Amino acid sequence: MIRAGLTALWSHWRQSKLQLVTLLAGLALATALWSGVQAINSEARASYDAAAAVLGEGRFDQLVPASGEAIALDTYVALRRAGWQVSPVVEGDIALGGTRARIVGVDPLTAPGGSGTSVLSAPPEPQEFLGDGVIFAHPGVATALTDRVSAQVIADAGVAPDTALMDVSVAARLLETSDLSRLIVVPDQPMGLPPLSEVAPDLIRQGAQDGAEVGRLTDSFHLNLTAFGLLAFVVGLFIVHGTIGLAFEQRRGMVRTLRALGMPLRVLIALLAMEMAAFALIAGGVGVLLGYLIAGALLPDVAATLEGLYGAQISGALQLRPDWWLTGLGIAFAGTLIAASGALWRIARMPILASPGGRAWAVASGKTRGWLGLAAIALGALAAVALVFGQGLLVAFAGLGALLMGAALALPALLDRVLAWAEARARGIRAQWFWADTRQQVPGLSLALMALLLAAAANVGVSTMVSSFRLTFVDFLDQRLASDLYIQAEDETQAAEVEAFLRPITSEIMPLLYVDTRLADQPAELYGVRVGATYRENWGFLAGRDTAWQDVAQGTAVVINEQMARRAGLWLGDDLVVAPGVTLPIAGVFGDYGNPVGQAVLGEDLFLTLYPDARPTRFGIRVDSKEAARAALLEFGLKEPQIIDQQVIKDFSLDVFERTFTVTAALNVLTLSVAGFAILTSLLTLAAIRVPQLAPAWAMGLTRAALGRLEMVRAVVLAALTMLLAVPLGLMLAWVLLAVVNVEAFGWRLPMFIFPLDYATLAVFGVLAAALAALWPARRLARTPPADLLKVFSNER
Amino acid sequence: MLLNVTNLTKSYAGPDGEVPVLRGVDLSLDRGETLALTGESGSGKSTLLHLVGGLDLPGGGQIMLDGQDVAQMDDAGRAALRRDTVGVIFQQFNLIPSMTVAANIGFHARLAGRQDGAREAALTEALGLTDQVQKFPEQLSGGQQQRVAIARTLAAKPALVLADEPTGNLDEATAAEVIDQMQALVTEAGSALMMVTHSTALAARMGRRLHLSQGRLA
Amino acid sequence: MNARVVILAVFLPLAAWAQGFAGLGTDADGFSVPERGYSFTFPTDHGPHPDFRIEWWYLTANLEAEDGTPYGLQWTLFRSALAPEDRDGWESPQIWFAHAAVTTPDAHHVAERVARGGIGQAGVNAAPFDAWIDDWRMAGPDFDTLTLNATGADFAYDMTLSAQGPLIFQGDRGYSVKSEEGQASYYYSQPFFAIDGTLTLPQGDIEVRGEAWLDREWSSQPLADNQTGWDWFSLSFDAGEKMMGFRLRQTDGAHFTAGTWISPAGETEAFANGVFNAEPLATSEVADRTIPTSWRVTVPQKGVDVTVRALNPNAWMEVAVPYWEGPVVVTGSHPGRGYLEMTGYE
Repeated sequence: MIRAGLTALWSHWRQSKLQLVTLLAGLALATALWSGVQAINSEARASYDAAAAVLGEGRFDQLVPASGEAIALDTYVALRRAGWQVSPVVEGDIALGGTRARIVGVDPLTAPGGSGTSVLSAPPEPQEFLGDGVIFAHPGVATALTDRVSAQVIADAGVAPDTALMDVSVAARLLETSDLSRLIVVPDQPMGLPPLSEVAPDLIRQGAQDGAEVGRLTDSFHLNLTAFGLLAFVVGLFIVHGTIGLAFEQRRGMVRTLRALGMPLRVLIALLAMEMAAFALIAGGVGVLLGYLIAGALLPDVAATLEGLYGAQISGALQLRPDWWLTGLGIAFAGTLIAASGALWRIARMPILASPGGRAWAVASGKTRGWLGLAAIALGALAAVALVFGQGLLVAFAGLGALLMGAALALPALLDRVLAWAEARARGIRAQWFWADTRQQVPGLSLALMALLLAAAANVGVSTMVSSFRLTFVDFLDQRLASDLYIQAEDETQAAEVEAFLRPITSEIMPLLYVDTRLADQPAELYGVRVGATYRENWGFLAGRDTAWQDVAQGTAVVINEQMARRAGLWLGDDLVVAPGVTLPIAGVFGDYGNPVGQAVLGEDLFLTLYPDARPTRFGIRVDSKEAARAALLEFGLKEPQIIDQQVIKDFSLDVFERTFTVTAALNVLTLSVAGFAILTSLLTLAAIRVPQLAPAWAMGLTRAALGRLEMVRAVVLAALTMLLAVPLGLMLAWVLLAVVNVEAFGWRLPMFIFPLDYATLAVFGVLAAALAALWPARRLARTPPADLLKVFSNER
Repeated sequence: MLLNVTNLTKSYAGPDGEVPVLRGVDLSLDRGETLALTGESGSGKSTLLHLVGGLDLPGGGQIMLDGQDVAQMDDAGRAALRRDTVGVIFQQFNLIPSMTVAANIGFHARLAGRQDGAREAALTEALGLTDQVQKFPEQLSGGQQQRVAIARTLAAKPALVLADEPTGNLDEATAAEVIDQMQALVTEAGSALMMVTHSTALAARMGRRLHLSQGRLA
Repeated sequence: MNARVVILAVFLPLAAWAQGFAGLGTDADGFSVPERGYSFTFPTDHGPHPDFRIEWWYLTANLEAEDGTPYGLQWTLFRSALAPEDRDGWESPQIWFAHAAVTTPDAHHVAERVARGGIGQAGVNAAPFDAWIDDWRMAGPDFDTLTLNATGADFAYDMTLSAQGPLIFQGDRGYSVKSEEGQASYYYSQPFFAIDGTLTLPQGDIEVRGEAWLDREWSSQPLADNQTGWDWFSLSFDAGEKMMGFRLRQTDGAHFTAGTWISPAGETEAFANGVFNAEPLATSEVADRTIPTSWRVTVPQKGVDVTVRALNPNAWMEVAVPYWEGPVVVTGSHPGRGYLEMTGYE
């Protein structure tokens, strides 16, 4: 019985191969986009985790120097002997031919569980790690490191990219330092500890969360990607929903027959469910494979973007991680289940004897459209509430989702209204028939059109965001990187010598003094700058007094970055305590894109009164000739990497954006293709039902060629209307991303720029995609044998 | 007795309340017998057929078929009944459009686990479908499709064949030919046949005739 | 890798460590090995011996509060060397770790510390005596007068020690044999400390006094291949005599035992293998293990036939390599009190 049933069910697909391909391809594409994006995300996350885990970032508090770069060994020993359970970390970079490797030295004896060597895939013996000083390096740098150091180097994928992990003694030797970079605070401390200020007043304690800035920042990037992936999946789901719905609809007769011939309903439902599960498995598998290819192609760009934007190092090579391919398959199953459950439910409730054939599939007209409209209004309201009153990134994304879904659900009703309006104004019977018939097509095409709407809106939204970001950022770079050269001295002594040397050959020297501290209860960087023409002319404010820089120079005001302003709820005119007993008014708030932490800038003189021991090791300089200045500095004894040309940084940053664009553009093309595919499949599947609808028009004198042409026009009209709606929806999406999501995620708001030409191009492409998709079905229609059209009248099958 | 129907009632929900369709029908049928059920449109003859075939649930009464009360069966029981004991030939044929004629003919028998290639071949030949076996139903004429439906039912060797206007789509001459063939094949197999028709001419060709009027047998 | 592995190396027989007795004073890796007839030099030998693999300063005390409540206290500093040398800075191959505990009749508080040598975080000076790791310390002008402190997450103590008798040497003049194959260590003790001070426990500070026993032991080959763990007793009888005895368990079910009888004046008498007998009487379920917490200890030639019972059977040392260590009450022929250590119970 089961074999006979399977044969019958399968015979449908054998005959409707195109439908089968559509179903599998739609599901596979949806899974591919989703799992591709997830693959990128999980790869990047694994990279951060590896980096953060070594240092216990995010899990453990840390002690870091309040000023200066290092912690003396004596300070560590003093802390330990006072009972403080802290574990030392030595960090630094070493040059490896063309690249650099990050050296991380840890003490496995004192590191809390879950940090240090526990990240390694095969934890070493003590003799190996402590005694022999074996170095564990990320596979990407292991070989280069082997040539550089005498110790044994073992490649271990558990180590963060570009990083080598070793015993603190080995790191100290490699980096030629006896100082420590930071101390991890073990969670369990003995009772009766003396306060930190007594034992090590130069250190400040950084909360576990503060240290995980990279994670928090990149989280939002990944959330963006995830949202993109999910959107793509939803678009794919519309296709699958459509095809599955149609496949079930077309098999209603068969289902009745099978039941009439004695197949129990439960067996039948089980067979259909198994069939769907098999499709999900096949399409999901293909989708995951495709996703892997997409991720492999995009990952190097994403890696570059993340590193450029946030300094987060991720591996450019993809690993097959079970978590994402399993979720990929999972989502294929979940998607199929969602798409098929309604159809299965209807089959289960269908009486054996109802008259066969007939009911319009998918989104029916009339009552259903009313319900959809109500749902759309509810979602819209939800979106408004979430976006206006909600707080937090997840709420923002939930609002975004509600907005998009609401808009999609409203589409059939909106199109119906527009078409009704057109119908009322149509002149001539042929035009009237065209509009009426188009209106009749909306329910059948609505899933595909919703997919197109979402794809196009996502396109508009994401590219607006990225382009706005680029424009703002380029401006900001011009401001920020106004000095010509940037000099990094080896130590304070060299810094003083360099400054003295530079004085006669430069027009302006800008020493950069800074300490890590806490301001307004947040971890912050406090800078001391020598205010000159460069600051006054180039460094603008989002909000600032005209005399801001003058006041800063005189020590009567402070300027802060937007991140600090938003997080601490401060703005122009508010007071900020910059040091114990020193409160200054805020004279300006400046944009500081891409910086994770709060920043406050003081005049050099005031800074030196507050931190008399601070000495600058970094300078920006203005010179007439960069080449001459560089030559002189090299002559003076600086090494090449100590002199940085700001233009290079600018170019690098712009390059990062180009790569971001590559990723965005690729995802855009992919989603749009999926939407185009949705239209194609919808039209193809509709074509079968179309014959009886078109036969009367044919009988009344429209030629088949004319019918075919009208089918094309119809698709183009519907697509154009949809694109027309997609642009404002996309702009809303962009606004949410820039003004809500960005503020929640990054702490700053991006100004929004509009790119009408881009949208026009997109609209053209969208319509073109629809026309292309309609071409084949229209041709098939134009070539329908007259006999088939006649059959409509001869019997009612 | 193969079939024994006692005081069978059935009504449907209408806009103005329940509309009785069958008002107490009694009939019986033995193996080898053929019975024509005639009546006006809406007289309830198709409903009676569907109730006997376990396709619908009666309002009251008893349908004893092969020793079992169809009215008391659950969904799975009725499915088994349709699969193993009765064979229904529908007015609309209800062929599986995506399967070939040959596959359609063998389908019910396979479902019931009674596949018999020789019998299928004999039926195919007897019903003149030999040249059509590789075609799909939509490539056949209405009469040919009807023969496929008949062959499918007879190939499954049901104890009771139920036919609902099996020749509704055929012209008189063809209809008569098909009915004769069907009757011959049923009696040859030792089954019983109950056929609904509005044609008195066709009814006259059957062993027994019953007329249904306003839900009652006349 | 973590401290656990390092400690494991001390307690369990590692193949590389259990190389047979080479007789040349060093083993294959260049570590010194104990030799019979060694003459101890003080105060130098109170300090570390970096050319030996392992070494400890092991203090246990039976205490009593004014209300008569008995307490136990442990302060142990271990040294474990990755190489037979010492260097300044991070490069030092000397690793230090320590355990501290306070046992009450119904609670057991434990803390653990790990450090490396060479940077000043932990170490031992012979004179003036100073042994420390982090904030834990045992120090004094000489080995007879010491202060002792340790802190954990939920306890601390601050004690004063003063020796009431001489150092005593275990085994053959301080050469203590650990197996029939000849594994041995240098081993001397100060069992005559009077101790008093303050225990800081969750319920508050408690003034206590009592007696303490300090063991000094160093070696490069602690156990033989077939030895799985030990049961070690230090007992102080009310009559004034003291007795140390241990039983090393072997994989074949047999035992290697040794012990020392200490007169009130500090004269010693070493027990050959088999003289000291200890048999479990009852076990307790502790930390998912079955641990013998009640023993019958007999030494026929001394007329000793006593029952040794844990003051608190849950004296489980939940450290990197866990073991049982706690105060015991002695009844029978020689009533008294003492300490019991049991390792290797899996």
